Amino acid sequence: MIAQPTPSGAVQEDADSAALRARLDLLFRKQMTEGHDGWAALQLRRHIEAYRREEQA
Amino acid sequence: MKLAPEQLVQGIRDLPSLPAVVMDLLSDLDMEQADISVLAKKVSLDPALTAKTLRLANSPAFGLQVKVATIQQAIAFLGVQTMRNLIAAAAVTVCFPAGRCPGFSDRVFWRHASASAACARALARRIRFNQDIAFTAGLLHDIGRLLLATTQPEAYGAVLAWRRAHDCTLLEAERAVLGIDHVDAGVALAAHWQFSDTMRQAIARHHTPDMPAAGMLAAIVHVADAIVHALDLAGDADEVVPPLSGLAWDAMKLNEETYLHLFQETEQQFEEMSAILAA
Repeated sequence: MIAQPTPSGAVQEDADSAALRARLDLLFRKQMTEGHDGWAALQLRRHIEAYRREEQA
Repeated sequence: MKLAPEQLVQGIRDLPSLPAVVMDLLSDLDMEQADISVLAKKVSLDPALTAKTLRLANSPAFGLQVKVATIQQAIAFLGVQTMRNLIAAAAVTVCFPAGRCPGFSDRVFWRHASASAACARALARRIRFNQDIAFTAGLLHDIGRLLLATTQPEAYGAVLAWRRAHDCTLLEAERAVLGIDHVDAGVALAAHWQFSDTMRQAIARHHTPDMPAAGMLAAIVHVADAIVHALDLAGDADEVVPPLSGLAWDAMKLNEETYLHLFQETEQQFEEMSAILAA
């Protein structure tokens, strides 16, 4: 597949988002343990992601 | 390499003693009033403790418009309750010689402790809980880790290696290698140093705030601990967010906007505080 030309800012934003998601995946890797359904951690993760995106913007 | 209870007790006995004034402060953190002049006089007799306490009082976390130069001044600006907690925090940090345990970073430890203290204080303010007690509990919740790393350095080094090899939580690694964990160690130290019941309970239940009678302070510290791990502030390559209790999370009753402010406040305040505490 040939990549479509995109403004460099958008490419950077995608890279930042991907890096953020990868780091959060790593940080939250122990949430689905026995006895924990992880819903509170999912909310925390959502808030952290929103906060980091606000910082990046 | 299981750790016998008597080894833990011996390790605690080998630590430098806390000054008597600090023992009094830690056992009475919940009380409302103290004799200001007696407190200031006693603390002022210890130059190292005074210097560290004043550096903490002048750090941005406490928002003073003027720099305070004496304990009496700091009490006048910040109040007795805040100063009691700052003095106790400063005193506890000097009891642990750094750099004994392979793989254990004192810098990482104090960055996490300071951020947890700042976050617990910010959470407490928003839910109208005592901010000063929350600050101290946030700072000391993992004190058992520091105790184990300081008094059982080889065994704790093995815990850290086991954790890296198995990619598990610290609690799991501690139980697997030592047969006890940093919560047990923290509770033993809190008893030895005669911390208040509230503080002991917060240390004991910071990973299990759902237990009966765990109390709101344990819930605050539990949530603050998870937030600080999630903000990734300590600089730990093996960082992982521990399981987060839905009950404790719900007890905070905060919305997303409030959390975003809380994250910002924590990040702004912890850095300088950790540099002071680790010094």
